Amino acid sequence: MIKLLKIEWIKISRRSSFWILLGLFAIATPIAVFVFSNFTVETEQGELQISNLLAYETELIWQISAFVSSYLVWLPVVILVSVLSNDLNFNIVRQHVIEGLNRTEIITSKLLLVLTISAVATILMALTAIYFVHDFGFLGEGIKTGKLFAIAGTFFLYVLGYLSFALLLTLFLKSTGFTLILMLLWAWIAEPVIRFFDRSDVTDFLITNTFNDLIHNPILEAAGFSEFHMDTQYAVIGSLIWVSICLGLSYYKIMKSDL
Amino acid sequence: MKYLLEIRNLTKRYGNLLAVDNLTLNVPEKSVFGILGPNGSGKTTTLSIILGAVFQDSGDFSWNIGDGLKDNEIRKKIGSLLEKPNFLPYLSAVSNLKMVAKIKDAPEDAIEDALKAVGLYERRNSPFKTFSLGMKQRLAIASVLLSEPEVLVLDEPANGLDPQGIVEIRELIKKLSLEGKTIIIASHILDEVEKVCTDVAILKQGVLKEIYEIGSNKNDYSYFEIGSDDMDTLESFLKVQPGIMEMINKGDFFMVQAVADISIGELSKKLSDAGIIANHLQKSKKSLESVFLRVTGGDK
Repeated sequence: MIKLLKIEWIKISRRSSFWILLGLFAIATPIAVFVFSNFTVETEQGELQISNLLAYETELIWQISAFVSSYLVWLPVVILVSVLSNDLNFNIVRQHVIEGLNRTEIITSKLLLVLTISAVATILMALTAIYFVHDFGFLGEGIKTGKLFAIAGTFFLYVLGYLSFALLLTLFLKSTGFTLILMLLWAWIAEPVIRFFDRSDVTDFLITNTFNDLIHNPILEAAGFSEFHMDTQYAVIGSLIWVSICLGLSYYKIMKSDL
Repeated sequence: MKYLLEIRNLTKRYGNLLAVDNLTLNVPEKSVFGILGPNGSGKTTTLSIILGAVFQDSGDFSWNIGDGLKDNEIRKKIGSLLEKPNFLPYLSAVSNLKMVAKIKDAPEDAIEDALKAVGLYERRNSPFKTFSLGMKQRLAIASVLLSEPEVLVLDEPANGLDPQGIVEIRELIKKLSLEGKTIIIASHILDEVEKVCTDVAILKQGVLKEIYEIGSNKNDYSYFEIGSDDMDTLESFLKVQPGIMEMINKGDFFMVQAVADISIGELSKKLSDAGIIANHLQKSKKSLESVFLRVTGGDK
């Protein structure tokens, strides 16, 4: 496994676009949280700046960091899709098999890449949250570590979901452009249109809606709009099922196709 | 004779196209085995199947390398160049070879030697995309040499190389053959195959047409090109001549294969006695080319 990771690292670490996108994610996350925290919300007590809500609220800061970072999920998606497309377009996967990797190792290496990118995105989200916890005033008592891990875990699953979907589409489309356009069209147009005409429990579990329902807007939720989302535990189960489907089909594609 | 590779009734179809048709072939150990055929004859598909990149529809094959090794472990012991050099364009020569070394469990020290062997050491840190076609081919050959393979599978190894590069590849193949390695070469360049191979399988449209042993008495035929203004009479004459194995109408002349070594003079006299005036009479070199042209009908 270490060998497979090292091979993927050689490919990814020499790509300037990887470092640019990673840097963009690392910088954009705190900037977005900062901008978000300066928004004001209407409350029964009048207008309130979100940053005032954040002071001493470690859990809320983590929730906001995860929520804001979730909008940047397309950066890790672009990283994964471009690396995979290169692999396929330049016949690198085929070459690896000819040189001695078996097909299970090929899919394992892609899974490791997906897991690693998801983990890095989660770490950057968590570092942003930790930074703002200190910035807004850290209060040692009352922090529920388990809840913070739950937020991080949910965010990890969210990124993993999008990346698994991207992995599957790239294996079939073999193109960075087509994959990203199809994903964006599906996530931003097709699913919302379907859900506009059929707002049932079934359409709640459409793929990107299921992933999106993992992470709620904490401010809207505090204002009582949580009924727009399915319960988190259902979103987790639904997401795990979608991730399994995407990875299963990706496995099938690599194991059964001519290269 | 011990065979390093045994292919049995291999068939591969792409939609309606039958790329490999019931191919049965044995590659002797320590031979330089050529697979010769015109474009689309199934050479690359056959190699892709035996190297695990493409699945056959039916038939099977076995490599007699190591005992009880898994398929991918066997492929690690084979140095392969299939179709064209496949490397990541933004990576340097060294970085691309590092990936190959990791897959083949070869030491990274071997990279330097391999690059020196193909004359690319000075350009080791240049991105692959800056290489000329010949340099790309050299890098592919460096990757083939990296793990000191027992077997080499080379698909059109002279592709893109300049005359000097072609000579170097030929010498390299001869050197590796003398070291006892088995080498399988697919090519459509007759001259190259004839210069280095010990055995040649000729394919056409996925079908094995002939196995030719270079330098063997088994291939001791004479080849003629005979043309006349009256091709019908010429054809009738040739059909009844003893020792004529095969004749192909090439339009202005017949390409004829005869069992015995007949001289031009003898043939000219026979034609004259039959009242046939030949406007084209040429004895072909007794070569792989003659066999290839005969079995493929002249396709290249």
